[in-house]
Amino acid sequence: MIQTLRWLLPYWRVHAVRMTVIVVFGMMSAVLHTVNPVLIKNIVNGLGANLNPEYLRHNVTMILAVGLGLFVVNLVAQRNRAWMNARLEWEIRRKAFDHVIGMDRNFFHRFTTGDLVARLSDDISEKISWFSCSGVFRFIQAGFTLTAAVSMMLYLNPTLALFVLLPLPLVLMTSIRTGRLLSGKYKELQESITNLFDFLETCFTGIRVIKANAKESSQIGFFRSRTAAQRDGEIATARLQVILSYFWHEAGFVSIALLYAAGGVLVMNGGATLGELIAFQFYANMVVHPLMDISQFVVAGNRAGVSIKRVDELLKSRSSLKSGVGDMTTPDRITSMEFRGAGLKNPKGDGMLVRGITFRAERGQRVAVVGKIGSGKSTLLALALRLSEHDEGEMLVNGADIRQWNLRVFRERVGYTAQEAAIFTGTLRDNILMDRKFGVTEEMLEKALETSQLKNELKKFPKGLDTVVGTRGFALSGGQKQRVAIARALLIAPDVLLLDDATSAMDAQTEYQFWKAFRKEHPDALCLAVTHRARTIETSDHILTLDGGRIAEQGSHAELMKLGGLYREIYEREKLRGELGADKGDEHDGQPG
Amino acid sequence: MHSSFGDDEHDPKERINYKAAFRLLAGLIAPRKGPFAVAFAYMTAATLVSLMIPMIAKYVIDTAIPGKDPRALLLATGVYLLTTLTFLYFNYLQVVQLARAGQDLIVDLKEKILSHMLSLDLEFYSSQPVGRLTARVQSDTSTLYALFTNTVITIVNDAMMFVIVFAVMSFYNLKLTLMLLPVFPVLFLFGWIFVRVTSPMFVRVRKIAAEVPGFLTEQLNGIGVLQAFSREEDTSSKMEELNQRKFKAEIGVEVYTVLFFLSIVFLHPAATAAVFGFGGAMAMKGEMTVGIIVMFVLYLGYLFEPIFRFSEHLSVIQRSFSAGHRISKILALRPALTEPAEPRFMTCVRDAIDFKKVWMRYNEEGGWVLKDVSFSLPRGKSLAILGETGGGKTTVTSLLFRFYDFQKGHIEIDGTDIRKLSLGSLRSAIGLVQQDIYLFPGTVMQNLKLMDDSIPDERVHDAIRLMGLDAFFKKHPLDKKVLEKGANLSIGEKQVISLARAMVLDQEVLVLDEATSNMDPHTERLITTAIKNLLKHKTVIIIAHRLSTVRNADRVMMISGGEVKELGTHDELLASGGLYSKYYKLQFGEGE
Repeated sequence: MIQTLRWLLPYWRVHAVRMTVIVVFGMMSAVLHTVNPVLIKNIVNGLGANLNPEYLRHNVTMILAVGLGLFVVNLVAQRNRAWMNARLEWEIRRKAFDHVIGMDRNFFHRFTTGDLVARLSDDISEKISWFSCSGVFRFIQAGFTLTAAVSMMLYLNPTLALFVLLPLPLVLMTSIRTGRLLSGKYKELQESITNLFDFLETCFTGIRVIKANAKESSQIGFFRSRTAAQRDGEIATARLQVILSYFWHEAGFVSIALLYAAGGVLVMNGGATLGELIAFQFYANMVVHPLMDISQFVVAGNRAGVSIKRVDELLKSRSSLKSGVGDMTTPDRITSMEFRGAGLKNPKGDGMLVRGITFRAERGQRVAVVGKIGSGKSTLLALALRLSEHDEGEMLVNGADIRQWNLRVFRERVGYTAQEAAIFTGTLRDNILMDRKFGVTEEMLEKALETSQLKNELKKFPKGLDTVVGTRGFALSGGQKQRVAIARALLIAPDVLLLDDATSAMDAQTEYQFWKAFRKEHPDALCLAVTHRARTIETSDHILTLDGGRIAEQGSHAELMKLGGLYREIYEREKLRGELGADKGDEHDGQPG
Repeated sequence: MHSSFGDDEHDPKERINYKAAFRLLAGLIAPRKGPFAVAFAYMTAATLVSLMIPMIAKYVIDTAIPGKDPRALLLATGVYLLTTLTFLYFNYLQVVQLARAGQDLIVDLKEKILSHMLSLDLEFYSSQPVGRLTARVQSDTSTLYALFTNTVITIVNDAMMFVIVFAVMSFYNLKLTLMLLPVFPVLFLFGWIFVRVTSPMFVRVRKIAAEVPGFLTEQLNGIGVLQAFSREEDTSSKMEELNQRKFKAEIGVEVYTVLFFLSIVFLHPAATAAVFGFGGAMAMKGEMTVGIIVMFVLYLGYLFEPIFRFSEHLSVIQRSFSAGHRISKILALRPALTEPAEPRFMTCVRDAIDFKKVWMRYNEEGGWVLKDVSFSLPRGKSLAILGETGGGKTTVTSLLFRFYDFQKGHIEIDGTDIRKLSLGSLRSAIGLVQQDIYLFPGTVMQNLKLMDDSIPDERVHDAIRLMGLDAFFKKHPLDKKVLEKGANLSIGEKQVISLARAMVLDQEVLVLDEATSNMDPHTERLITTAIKNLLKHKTVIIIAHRLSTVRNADRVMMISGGEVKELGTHDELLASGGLYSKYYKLQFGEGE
């Protein structure tokens, strides 16, 4: 708990004024709360004696004034707490998100997208946000309220105060025990619900098997037994919930009974006034309510603590990308890239993902990267783009250490497409421009569309370039996605183009057209392409054959064919695949679902 | 494809069919009036008892203490304790009774929805994401649970309480009661306006909240590209913009909530002040006692409580109608493929399965998915189907189960057109094994039986022996619990289970969709042995990916572009040097 609060402290500090307001108004609210019973006491005692109307009016006005005061004070405190909850959620997410998007590729191997999304949305929104201000400061206010009420009672009549406070420790202890029981039941209930969700998901995804085997009725039978478990869980929790609510809302009755019996006798003997007795009845309810905030603080605090650890784990991760000795970025074009024994460690455990990568590529060349699944092709491209930082050997750009380049400038001169063409929700135009507003002209866009073979495709889209695509828009075929990704990469005429299997879903003809247009349009560009197309491989200037993270063979197509080794095997298989039409792309999909 | 976001959210453009939704809700409660009436009786008792408490306070203040009668005081305290405990007891009974009655109702409804869904065609499942289907069964029903357990009964009870409290108060002092009366309709109007104003705002807040994970998923999936193009700053500012929108929406609706609730909180002391002010003046004239004033103040607490709940109730009612609407829409769907009018029943395949010049397309606009497909599979034989993805392999097997109807040609079992066969008997006679499966949350045994408890355990043991899988199921005992859809088992192990299941279900004819995943040699051996055993004992159509499977099959059929390209034994096709021989080299070339 201490660690959780310490983690939140810097965020509170930024909003010191607002936080002070929350605390001060919380105090004021606690004090005002304790005034009302005193006023009631005054009126009741006044009514017993000879009451003058002025005194009555004064006290009634005071009740109104205190009510109004509480309205204002609570408004300020609650509004600010809610504001802080939302604001801290914003700030924590901003900090974590900005940190995450600056991380290297190792990080994204370690945390899956689903995991990151859960931490950045659910953990922050649902678990941390409310606790970060309301949870903590309602607890503090509850402390104030208890203190103020107890002090006021002791001041008014210590004996009556004793009667009210006597049962409290017992109430608190039992309520905490019931609360523990309840959270155990909640867990069981949650499990039975998860179970049902799992069952339904399995049932609906496996619907073919169920229907094909005519087992619908046994599914229902099984479902029945599972819903029974949830039913029992729900009832058991409802049972405990109502008992717990008694401690939070109704527990004052023990104190009130004591007040009536012992307090009443006291009033008869003149040890207390009737007004005090009635006032204490209100106090008895007042001291029970804060117990709720206190136990909620404990429960929500534990949950928030777990989530904070999960978010903190992201923030504590460090990127391995190093900046060099100084910024040696030159305005020159990138004309050569050289790997000298470059290697990258496996972030999960020991061993290397790739090692001993040595080759050189000059401007105007196309280097094909081939190899089986998992041989390190994508890793090699990631190194070239500095999505990962090499751990061994050297990497040179225009003869200088790659790390001496400003990362941003370097990447801006490199075009890249990922294996899974990433499409973002937005128009086609947005997806190609990617917010690159400066120095991008309509002609450049036009050129990129032409070269990437997307131009003719545009008429297939309902609104051309302004068609909204992505998860919530028009669905693109695999080949279309890849062409969008290529247009995006070519837009600003990069010096280096890195294509990670960027043409696999295109048909052979389209790919051929693309390469032809690309060479014509960008004769000087250096291109590193992971590819499976026999025709693309054989026409490349240089070929790297990867095997188990190492370069097994490299050279021209003719040289490697003569070797008769791994390259030849891979090439012939790809050629066969081409002839069989197994790679005709996914533009024509057969069946739904 | 327009996929959904926020599955339990109502599409604002779609009008709710209130009539259908109401009929559904009313139909649910009609057969269980009894349990709900009992719950209502408990609730009434609890309310009536609790209303006595302020009267006890009045007795203590007006009678016991002024009379200096300790015995009366003790008696009053005793009654007070008794009353409170009785109230708590009845209240407890009511909560539990409602939970029971509500759960019974919801459990029935869930079963009704699920069994209706299971009766629908496969097209229904391909048109709806799984998440939306589970939301209908689980989330929508739990909204209705809140409606039945809390809202309906509480509203009736609150109304009753209002009447009684006002009756009691006017009995003691009509004038003061009449002064307080007009406050409450105004408060309820407030509540109603509050819900009207804020509910679209809450919908907006939930929508934006649902955007956050969507945005994050998209950006983080494309992180390599974003970094490659140095778009970090733009992405960051998009996140910032979304954060800001969420913040503004939340803060915007929160101000209404705080104002609404605090206004009620403020009106409470205002009403208290009124009671003391006017009541005090009356007391001075002797028209009123201190006890009655205190009693009035205590009753005010009772009256204000329902107003807090009122807005909550309204929004539950609103959401319940949306949920009821969605559920009744699903219940109104009818399957297109149904039992024929005079079905013929079959128990097993005696002679053969025949495809005769079958043509099939999924819809009028689409192209033919199967073109003139013919083959014959005699009982006891096996057929391996090979071909590229999307070439029509799965469609062939789907037709055999009559998941879809074909347009031209015939499919016959023992000479009878399958469209004349009872759907249930057809599907019971032919089994389907899919290897990419999730497992059900239950034991391995239950998964082997596909949750059909009528299958005797003995059959499971026999099947395991027949398949030669004794050792495997020693390592994974039959009573082992499957966790998280099978996360505690490897892909290979799940495949073994799915194969063993085929033997347990004991159909003469099997359609097997072989999976392609790479796995360790040990599991691979287990699976090849299991498939071999199945091929030996059953009539099998298998969409094959393994060399050993193809070799063990009696005949091989190459399908490409919806057409049967080659059909024959492995050796024949290999010798002919056609498509199959090339495919064979490509697919299995390395292993040789």
